Amino acid sequence: MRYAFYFDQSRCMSCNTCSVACKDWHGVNPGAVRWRKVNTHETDDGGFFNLSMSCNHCEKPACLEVCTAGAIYKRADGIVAIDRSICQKIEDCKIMCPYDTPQFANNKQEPDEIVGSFTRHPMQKCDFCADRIDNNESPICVASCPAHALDYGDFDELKVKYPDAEQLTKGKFPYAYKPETDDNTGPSMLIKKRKPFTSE
Amino acid sequence: MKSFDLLSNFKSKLSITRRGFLQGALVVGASSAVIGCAKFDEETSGKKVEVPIDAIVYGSTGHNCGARCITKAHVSNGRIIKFTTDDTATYTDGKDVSADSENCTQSRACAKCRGYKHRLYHPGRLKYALKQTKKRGDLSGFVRMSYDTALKEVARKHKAITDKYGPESFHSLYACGTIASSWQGGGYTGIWTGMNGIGGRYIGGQLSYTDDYSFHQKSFFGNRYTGYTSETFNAPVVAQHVKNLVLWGSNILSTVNEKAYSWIRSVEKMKERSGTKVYFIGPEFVDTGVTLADEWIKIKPYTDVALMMGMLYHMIENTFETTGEIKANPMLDVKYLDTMVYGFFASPAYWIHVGVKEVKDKDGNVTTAEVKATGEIVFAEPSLNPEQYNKVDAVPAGKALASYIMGNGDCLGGTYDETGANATYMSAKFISANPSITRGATCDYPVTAGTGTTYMYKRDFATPKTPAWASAITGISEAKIKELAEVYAKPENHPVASTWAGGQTKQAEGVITFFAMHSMMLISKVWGETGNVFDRAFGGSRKGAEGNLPVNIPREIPDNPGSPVIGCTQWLSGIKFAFGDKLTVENGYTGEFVPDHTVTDVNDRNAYFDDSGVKSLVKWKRDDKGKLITDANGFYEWDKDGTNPIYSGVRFILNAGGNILINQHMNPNDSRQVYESLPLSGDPDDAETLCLVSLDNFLSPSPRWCDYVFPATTNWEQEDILGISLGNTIYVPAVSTAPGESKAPYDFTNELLKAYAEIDPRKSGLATDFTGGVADKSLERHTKDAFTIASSKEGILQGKTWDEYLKNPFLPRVPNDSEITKSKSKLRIKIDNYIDLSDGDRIVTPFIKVDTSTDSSKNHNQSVNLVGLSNAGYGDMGGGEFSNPETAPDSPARFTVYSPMFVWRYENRYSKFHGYLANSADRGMKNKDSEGDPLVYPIPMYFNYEDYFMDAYGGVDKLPPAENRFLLTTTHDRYRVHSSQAENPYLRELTHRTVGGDLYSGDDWNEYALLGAEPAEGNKYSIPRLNKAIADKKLNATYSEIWMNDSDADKKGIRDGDLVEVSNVIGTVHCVARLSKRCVTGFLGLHQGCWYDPDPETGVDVGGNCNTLMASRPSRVDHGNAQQSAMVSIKRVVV
Repeated sequence: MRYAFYFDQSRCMSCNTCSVACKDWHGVNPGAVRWRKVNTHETDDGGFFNLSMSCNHCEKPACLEVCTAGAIYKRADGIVAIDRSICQKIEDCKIMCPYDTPQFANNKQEPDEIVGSFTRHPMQKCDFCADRIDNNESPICVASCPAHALDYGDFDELKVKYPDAEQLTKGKFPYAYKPETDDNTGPSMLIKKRKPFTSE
Repeated sequence: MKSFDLLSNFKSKLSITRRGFLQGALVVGASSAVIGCAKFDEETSGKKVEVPIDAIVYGSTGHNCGARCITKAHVSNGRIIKFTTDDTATYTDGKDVSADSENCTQSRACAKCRGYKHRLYHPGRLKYALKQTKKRGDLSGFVRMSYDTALKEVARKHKAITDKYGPESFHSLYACGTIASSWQGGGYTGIWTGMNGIGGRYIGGQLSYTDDYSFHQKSFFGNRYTGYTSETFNAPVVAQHVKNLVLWGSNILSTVNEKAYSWIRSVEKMKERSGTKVYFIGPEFVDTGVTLADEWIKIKPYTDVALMMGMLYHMIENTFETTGEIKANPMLDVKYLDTMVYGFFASPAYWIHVGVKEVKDKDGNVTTAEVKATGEIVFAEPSLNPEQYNKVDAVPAGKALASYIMGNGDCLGGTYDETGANATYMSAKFISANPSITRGATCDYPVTAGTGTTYMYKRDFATPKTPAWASAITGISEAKIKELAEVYAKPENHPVASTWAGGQTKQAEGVITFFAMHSMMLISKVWGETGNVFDRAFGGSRKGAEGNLPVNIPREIPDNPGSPVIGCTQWLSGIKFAFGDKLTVENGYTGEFVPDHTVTDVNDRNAYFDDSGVKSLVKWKRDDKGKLITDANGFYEWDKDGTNPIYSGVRFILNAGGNILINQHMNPNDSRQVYESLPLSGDPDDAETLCLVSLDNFLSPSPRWCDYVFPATTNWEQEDILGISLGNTIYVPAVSTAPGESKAPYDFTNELLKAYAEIDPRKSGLATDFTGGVADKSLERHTKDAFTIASSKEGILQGKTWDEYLKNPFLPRVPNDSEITKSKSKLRIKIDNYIDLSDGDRIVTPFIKVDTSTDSSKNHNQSVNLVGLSNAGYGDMGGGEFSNPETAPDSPARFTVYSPMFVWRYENRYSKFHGYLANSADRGMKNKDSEGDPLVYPIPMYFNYEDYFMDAYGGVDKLPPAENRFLLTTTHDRYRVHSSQAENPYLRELTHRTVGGDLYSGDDWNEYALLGAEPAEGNKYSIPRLNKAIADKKLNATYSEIWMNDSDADKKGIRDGDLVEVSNVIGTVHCVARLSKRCVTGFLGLHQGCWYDPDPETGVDVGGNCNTLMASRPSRVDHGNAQQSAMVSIKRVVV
């Protein structure tokens, strides 16, 4: 079992319902930290491409490899999770993640001390709604999408379900990546690419 | 919290993770609005605890976002912990809900409703009634008052004013904060706002308004002037039949969430068919374009009509030789145009036989026998049975639409054909009457100032409107203009579905855009066949909703007394009409923000822009039933103060959950100056002062400038009955504790009527009538009554208990997935057949008949109705009260692209109210611009945007300098509902940024829209500025984004994230620049709905409200809001 997201770029209307529903469900206060981000990327050849992306729960998570505190772990179902109580806020995970997924709040967004935690603002990120998954519910972003542009499931089963989709790669979706990062983490993210269009 | 029993088969305790439990625990004990602080420990390892969620409750929203979707509130102890949305798995017919269908009716809410928690529990929520004691708008002048005391003062004030100035002096302002609820708030049938608001009728009547701020220009134009009618527009038609979908600026995916998926899925299916294409035409490539379009055609704002004229030129050029002969393979169907499209070409005056409809008396006896129309044409007034004929006025050669398009071009000099392949019954008749008649001549409209005219459009009358001409204006290439022309003109490219956008209906020339669009589609024959469509928003095809509750509150609501109905944007002009003598420079009213209307004009009560009903606002005489009395001259009789009329104007405004008063109306700087110059409401028994009252959740800009402010509840805090767009109408209980003394509009009205009864015995019993004949009967009790009936009858609710209903009241509508057969409309078949008939048969015109049904235009309606083409009324609504209907032009009984009626109605609007004006030239509305030429012409033409700005800004020299001149529009984005939710931090952070910050750098949560410390009753507030962080010069202060093309920004030295100042002679705003290729060059996009927050020293609106830049001058013809039209300069602000 390897949980993965599916994203239909030709359906996404960049409405941010997924990202707001995510903040609401997970109680992430207003502020810069948002586990799922939605952007319309503008390419040099005049293209405009929507992308809704959170943690890609990689097969070989770069964040996990560099976490010397041992706070990041991978569940048997592929979900990459964090034990916030032992995070030491070294932030190497943020540096190494090709997708800039790990985030750290400030005092305003996260005003209350987390009892028993090592650091005031431990790393946080998408946990694939493990609470909902364990309750046989779809992740809140998938359940919220008015455009039916998001789906989730086992990576291999999703590939069969959406034969037009391809795995996220730097070559096809350069705007999903931070510059100067490797593309070797095996993201559990399948995308149906939007057709290019013309303008004059 | 409403305590309803949770349902037997419903888990009263949800199993959720420990994280959720901690959130819940925090919330229960929270005294501030800090909720849901994330706690992360061990949750992903799967440890679970039980958290007491009391209920998961279905609801929706009542504000004017364009859709009603499903949200489900997870409630714990009177507080909402989180939201989910619709996850219905099966329809009422048992079939599975499938996203494969474009008619799928899963009703998923958008970000606005998902972020509602931070609206409900915002620290700035109003809790108590406020009264201004210093000067309107003064944040240090509000005193906390008890709700009841304030209500009693408001009732006394209303009585004092309306006793003296009549019901026409009371205006319940257009407001859409609760528009979707007929039971709580407004809309078109609700309590306070809307044309039929009942609250005003209970308290003696009200001045009503036409249509609304969203679609005034579209509604005004209607479809009777041209006779154009759209075919059915829905998702299956797009999926199965449409070949070309042309999105004229459409923004539907952002503005009508409930329809978004139907659009996306149907366009997906459309694209699976070969040979289809989706165009998006607009200056800003909005999300709808990014998601759906194959091609973005970049157009300069406000130039759609120029594009259409260039397209029409191409069609004409490919139809006629320069000699006027018809080409071998003409692009246009000349026979059809000659026969059926009045005014494209010149034609002589004639009389056409339209017959007589049967008339019966009340006993059913025929008093007038039917005479069927023959369509016979004669060129002299018939002496026999003249009543069976309509006179059709001549279309002079230089005034036809084709003449305007061709300018002084020469290919229209040809004559009509009397015989041969191109001859028609009409053309042959025209020739027989006048052998020298030609289809066109050099465009010939008057230019009084000659070559010295300051109006650019007049200088272009004789210019051929070639694709090259259109290209220079629109910025679109000639080749693309020709390609678009052929999309419309060539039958093989049909069906063509065209969508208009709300943006076009809020521009200075929006009415003309609709006139041009109708004309283009009529001329190119894009009508009358499945998929040939012109509409705004299509949705899925679905069966009717099941399970609606037949809620009925029995009321005996008084009729509204007879009264004029003013244009919806003209209430401020009405205030100026009432207090013209007091709005003096000495009192602080400088008029500087309205350059095209002087203070002297205001003092003399010259209604602005003459006048959309404002000069009808004198006190009227009424009979004992409240009806207006008509005098012997056909005018309404007016009340007198000695010999003068009593200037009622607008003196008392109730703003029930809206923000028009300051924010959403153009030019808040001027509105504010009016309110600040006039004395406070003061003494509740003084009839001579203006009184402004708001109900609101926050001290947003409109309540800030009011005399009285009442705290109001919102969704989830008030019980309501809301119609879900994709399903049935549901009852929504109140589940979240409302702050302080806030009340729902239903309860406000109940209490106000009780307060009124104490001072006016005539009003006793009205409160009880309002609540349905039983004192204080709640909506819940009315709903339960209806439920009892519904559950006892056959139907989907049969046998259900109330608790079962509350558990899941939502029933999605069942998709109608059957195939649609392509077909022609009856009218199209008739016309196609008619044109092909032999001469003798052509005299019988099956499509020409006269409808004698009445509408607001009453007795001249018979002569102008294009029946068979449309039954819809003219859109000038309140204006359609004429003293002289017999002078109206007759209908040509065919499609019309040259409309004398369009001009006549303009010039005669409201004339029945104008008997008190001694000078007959002052009656009706003046159709004259500053040079004495018409404002309104019988044809659509391109009015250069520079001309509007020249008028609105007070002269050519008042336009922004040529080297720093940008056109600005104010698209709706999806993160505000107009200006509702402008305070919601979950949504603000998606549209606001810190200076120099990236996207989503917004961080002024709990620092925006605050009230300060709550004083004891009777004491003053000390309220901070809306944007406290900006006022305090904090680094986390955020500004609204303004969208700008990156190459423009480069030239102006502006970088992404820079603070910028955007200004014109009307106002100045501060924003943060967002650079994007999604804007055309020369264009700025400042999305509407930010709250006005003028700096007290500089007057600069740091809130970034787009309307601060919008001139007061209304749109041409309809006098609606031109709030998508601004010309501005931009510069970087160094911080």
